[in-house]
Amino acid sequence: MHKIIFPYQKTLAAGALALLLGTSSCSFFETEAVTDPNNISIESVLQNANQSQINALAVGLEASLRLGHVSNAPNNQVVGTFGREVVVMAGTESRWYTELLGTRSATLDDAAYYNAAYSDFARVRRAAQIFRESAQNAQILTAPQKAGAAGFARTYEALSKLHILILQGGEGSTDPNAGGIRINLDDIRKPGKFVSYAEALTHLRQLLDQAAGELDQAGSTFAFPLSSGYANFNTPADFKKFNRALAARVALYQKDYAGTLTALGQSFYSRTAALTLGPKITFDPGAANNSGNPYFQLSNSNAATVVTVPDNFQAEAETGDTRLNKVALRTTPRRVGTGPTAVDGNYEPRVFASQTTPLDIIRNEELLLIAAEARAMTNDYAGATLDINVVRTAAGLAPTVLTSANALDVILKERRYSLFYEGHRWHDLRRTGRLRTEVTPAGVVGVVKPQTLMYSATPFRLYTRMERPVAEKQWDIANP
Amino acid sequence: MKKILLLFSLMLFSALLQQVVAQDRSISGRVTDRATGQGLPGVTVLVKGTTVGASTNADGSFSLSVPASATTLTFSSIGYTSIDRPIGSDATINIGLAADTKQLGDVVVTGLASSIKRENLANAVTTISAKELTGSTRPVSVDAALSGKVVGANIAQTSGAPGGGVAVQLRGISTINGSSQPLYIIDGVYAVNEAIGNGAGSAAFSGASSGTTRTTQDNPLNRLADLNPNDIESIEVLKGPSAAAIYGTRANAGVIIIRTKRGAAGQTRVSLTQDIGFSRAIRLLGKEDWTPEKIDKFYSGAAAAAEKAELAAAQSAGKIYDYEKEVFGNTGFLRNTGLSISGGTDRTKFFASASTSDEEGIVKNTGFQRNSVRLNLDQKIGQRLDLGISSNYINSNNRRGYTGNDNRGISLGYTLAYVPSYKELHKNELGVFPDAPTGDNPLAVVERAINEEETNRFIQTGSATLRIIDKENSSLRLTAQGGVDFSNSAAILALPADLQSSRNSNNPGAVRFARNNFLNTNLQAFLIYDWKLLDNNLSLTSQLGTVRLDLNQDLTYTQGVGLAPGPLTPNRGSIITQDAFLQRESDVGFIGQQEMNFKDQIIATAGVRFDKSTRNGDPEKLYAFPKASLAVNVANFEFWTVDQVNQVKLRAAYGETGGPAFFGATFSPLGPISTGGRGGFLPSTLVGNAGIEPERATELEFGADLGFLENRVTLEASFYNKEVKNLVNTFVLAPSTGVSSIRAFPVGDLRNRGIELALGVTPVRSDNFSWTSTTQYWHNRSEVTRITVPTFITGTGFGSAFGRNYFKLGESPSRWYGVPANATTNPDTPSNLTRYEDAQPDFQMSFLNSFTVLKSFDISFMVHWKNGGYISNLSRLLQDEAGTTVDWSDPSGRNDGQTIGQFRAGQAGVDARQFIEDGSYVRLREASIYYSVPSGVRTSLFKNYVQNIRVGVSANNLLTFTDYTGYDPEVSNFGATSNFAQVDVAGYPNTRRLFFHLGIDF
Repeated sequence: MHKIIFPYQKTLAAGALALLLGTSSCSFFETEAVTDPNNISIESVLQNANQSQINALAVGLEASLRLGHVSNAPNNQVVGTFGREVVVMAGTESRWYTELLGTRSATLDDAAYYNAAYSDFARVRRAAQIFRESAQNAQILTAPQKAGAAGFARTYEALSKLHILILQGGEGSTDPNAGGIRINLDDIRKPGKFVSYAEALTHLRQLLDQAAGELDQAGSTFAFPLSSGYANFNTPADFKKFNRALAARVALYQKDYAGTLTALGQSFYSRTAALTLGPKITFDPGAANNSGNPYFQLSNSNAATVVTVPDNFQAEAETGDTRLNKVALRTTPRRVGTGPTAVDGNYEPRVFASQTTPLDIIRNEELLLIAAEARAMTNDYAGATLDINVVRTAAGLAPTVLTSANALDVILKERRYSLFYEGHRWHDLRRTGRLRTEVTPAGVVGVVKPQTLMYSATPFRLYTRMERPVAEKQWDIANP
Repeated sequence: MKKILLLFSLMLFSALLQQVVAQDRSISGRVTDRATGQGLPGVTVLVKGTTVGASTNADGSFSLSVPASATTLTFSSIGYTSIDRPIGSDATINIGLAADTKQLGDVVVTGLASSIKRENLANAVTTISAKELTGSTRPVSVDAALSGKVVGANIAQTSGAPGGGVAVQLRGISTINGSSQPLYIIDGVYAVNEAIGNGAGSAAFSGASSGTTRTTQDNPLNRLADLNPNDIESIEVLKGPSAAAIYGTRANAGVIIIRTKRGAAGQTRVSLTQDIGFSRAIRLLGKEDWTPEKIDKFYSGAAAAAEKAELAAAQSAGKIYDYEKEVFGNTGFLRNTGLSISGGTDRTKFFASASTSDEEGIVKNTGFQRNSVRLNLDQKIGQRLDLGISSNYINSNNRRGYTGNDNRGISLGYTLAYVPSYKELHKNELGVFPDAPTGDNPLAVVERAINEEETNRFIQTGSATLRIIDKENSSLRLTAQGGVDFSNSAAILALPADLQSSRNSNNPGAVRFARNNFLNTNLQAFLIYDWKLLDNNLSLTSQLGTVRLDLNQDLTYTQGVGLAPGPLTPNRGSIITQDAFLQRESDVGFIGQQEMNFKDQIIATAGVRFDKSTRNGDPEKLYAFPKASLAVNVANFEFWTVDQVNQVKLRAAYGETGGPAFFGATFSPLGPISTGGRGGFLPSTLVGNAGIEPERATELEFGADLGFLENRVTLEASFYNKEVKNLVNTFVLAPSTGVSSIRAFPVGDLRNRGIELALGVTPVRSDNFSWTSTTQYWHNRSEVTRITVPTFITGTGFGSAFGRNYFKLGESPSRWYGVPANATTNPDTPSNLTRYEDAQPDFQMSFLNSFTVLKSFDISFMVHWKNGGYISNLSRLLQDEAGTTVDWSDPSGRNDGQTIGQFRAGQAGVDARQFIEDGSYVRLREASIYYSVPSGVRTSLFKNYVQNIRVGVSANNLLTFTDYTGYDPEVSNFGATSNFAQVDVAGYPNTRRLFFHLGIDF
């Protein structure tokens, strides 16, 4: 007993109890602080973490990127719906094929389940911050090891923010309330204001460049383990190639084509390497605190929720395109809704073979397509043609020729089939001004068939961005 | 400390020696019910102003030895008006007690260790006697049996499943975190009343929530269902802080004190009760059949043709089914058997009971069973020491099936909405269920999916009272009490691998074995000093005490998915997951209280409790919870000469209580996550607040109690203003920080104001006919009066498409907001949403009438009217989307070619109006008629072996009048919620229950 504030009461009561119950008076009155019996605390790792804590934080950071994909509203299904790559026919959640296809309201709900990925991806940034700060304060780490941890963490922070920015959109506007993200987030009680899409991209480039600089200082090995998803990218030097690949993607979105090509040159971009080369998110449903690939679906599943593919994916492809094996005709077609808002699900995605199939973060096929686009935009049509034909050849198609008249439409069409269900289509159309029912009309040489978006004409409607979460809006109202 | 102890024991010992034994004399007699003439057992007979007394035995007889100085005997029994009878020189006293609707003579607990006469009470404390609780009929659980009987309470069943699931809200919204349920104290034990889920709503099962462990959508029952209602003597409801202040730090939501029956000296009394009953759904939603035209609206091309062929075939074979009726339209058989034995001597008294209940649900393979044994023992040791123990063991088993929200297709309400009536879902001759169009076959789910839970529970209390000084004008006693409530629940959830929804799952089949252990222990000790001043005109009671409470929870499960064929155990899964969650809490409190009573004219009480709790940021810091009250019995003053008005009491009470944050509020954990076969840490989306303090409710209550014509007419009126300050809630941060919220933060203040009126009338009181009637009215209004954080979502809605609640300045935290959003018309609402009605009722009323006819028939009924109280109802949308609503094809009112069902489905997300529905109802909640076999007939049949035979018929929820379109306006997909805003998604239909009763006393 430390403070005797009410000695009279305590004495009497303690005496009474001791007499009757024989308990020791001191334990009766003690209420010792309860430490968390279930988890370790953040505070315990921020100062001088040990090696196993550093390792666990790194594993947690890598694992956290999966979260945006494994919630009730997996990211690639949400953006896939916005880009009409897939339709989620959820027998018990009609909002998937009504609200998200635009048949209900001009603005989306700011507090609905389908914005789950926003906060899931935001957790990646926080995990990166905690890891970076813990590593900087860990005496066990050398200066290069700290630099490696910082470069790794900042690259993940950029990935986190990029995912949120894609969901929130806002390209073409300088109004930070028409999309955009917050970029200063280290103090959770004093987050920075929202910045516009363009400012956000500038920030992401800086963040990636800073990370690249840190990776240059990081020596030959990281002080923490990475999973098999980073099989060819688990040293600071190789990880930097991944960092540069992300920089190339961001630069392309910025329309900084020279910067894109510079970054590509430092990345793992290759016209000869496998198209699948690149770091991946791995899945293991059997491991504790891990999960299976959420985009894997049993073929011809008749589950309550079935992901389907609109018919035009098949219909608008070139004959013989081997990338069509990413979808298959269902033996039991599904239809949801009635009348003009009915949606048919005759095809289903078969991109992922099993629950343990990894999910690409960025891969060589995308880098080739980025290269093609950046070269075409800088009038290097010959170089662009070389890049695009690597992709076409791999898809079993004849080579094509890119010109100023067709380059962007051809590249977007190849991106559609190459990167199907990987979270790109909606943003690709949006950033190129083609998010419309008639994406590419007939007659563009090399596109072969007109490209369209199904379920986009009235009573359906296309969205250019996910609604900003209500908690963000309310925060700004309360903190002007 | 040791020296003080020694000194104290010496003092105690010398006090014992000083006691002088007085001369006694003996008085005996019999107490009867004035209406029926039958002996009343268990009536307390006390020498007025002392603690000397006895209880009547089974036939109402008593005998006791009283001090020579005694002048008056007080006869009191719950449910009857107390009587003071001068002794004079009588050796025999026979007396009849009249039933009292207001129980003015009851004693009510105002301190943890002392009590006060109801007529001197400064608060409106509701007392429910055993007779009122279950004397009429048998609601599904003890808390459900309070519905409509407690003025100021909002009580709703959250599930119609066997065993129930009940939410109780006293005087408005007390907190906005957690479930805001009152504290339940059973014989002094802090009872486990957690409604902890088992995971039925988790991703591996119904998928209602994306959570993988325990979810808010598991549809659990609350543990009060374990208590055998027949064991209960009385329930006291301390509704607000002014009455509950002495319970301190956990009493913000009110306190419900349950006392179980105890033995009475005299003849051993054996009671046998047998109830047999039936339950049926209050209503079913119905369905609309299909036509080829309707099929064309849902299907096209070859699929449409195939469906039409299937429809035609089904029609010609006469195989159009009503699956809702097959699943929810059954009759549940209900059986309760109870046996109790009570009796004893002056020194040893016992009450023992055994009961068994078996209540089938209206869905096959669902049910609730409870077996309970109890022994309550009181023993006097010498002249100064009284000991009491209560032991209760309960074994209960509930099978609830899968209902409510769902993302997988197994929830019955969900799949039934989506199944067209021409589909064949019945088992074929091979015993195989055909596949449903989507999700799962509800008939297969009923037969094959498992959701059952067995609970073993011990509730044990012990108490000791030591009378240190025992004089007429001065008595000092020491009371100590300790209790343990241990509950272990073992749940099995299973979906076999060959169920349709399992076959369509990546990892077919799921089994979970869940174990939830709760251990509550509490100890308290009080010194109570009763003394008198001013020629005995001023009675004083002083008390000092201390309490300690420890709460432990261990929640674990093992789950296997991807099951190999064979027995349903987790270790046969291809993916096995485990989870363990531990919770430890301790509170310590110190209490002092002073009561003063001047000639029953002016009664004043003041007290304070100091509490510390490990839930707070500083576990060592003491928080003070004061209280003070004043009651003035105007009619007891000498100047009062209006004989027709026998009671005029004006009262005022103030008190404060607390609500400590919650376990873990101070933690900022790194949770487990793994990848690549390595374990890792991930910062939680919640961060702790190391400085969190308890929220505090303050309440000022005013009231007047009037009694006319010897309490033939009584009126009890109360007004309260309850303010909850520094409400602890998550502080919602900008989610892009990666932190959704600070777990616990003082977010603002909330005010609840309300009025409670209770009018009791005995229009007729004669030998052959008596009628008592109670009419109660109450309402509450809540408003946020201060907010320190951004406006945030509270409650548990499904989004603005269907209705959400916000914590917003100047509004009720249970008000609904929803689409459409419009910045012009709704500039000030959150996200410019449309402002809809409040989930809180405008008011509630109840009418309770009881009649006794020819001393043999007891007839009673209670009508409960809830006016207003809006519910977010998604049930009809499911049917509208599937084309199965009863009126789906109705084209009336539409000129755009759509049917009403199509239109409504299309309005989802556009306009929330159709989902935010008025939950008003008028319900004949209880009705009963009992017949007691007259003593002449009884003795001619059974001689004197049988003391009483009673038969009866009763009903619960017999009639309901409501415009609500769901199964029943008492519903909640999320169970008990803090703001009482309910969401309805295809839950287990609520039931009406009909019983036949037989009671025999030996």
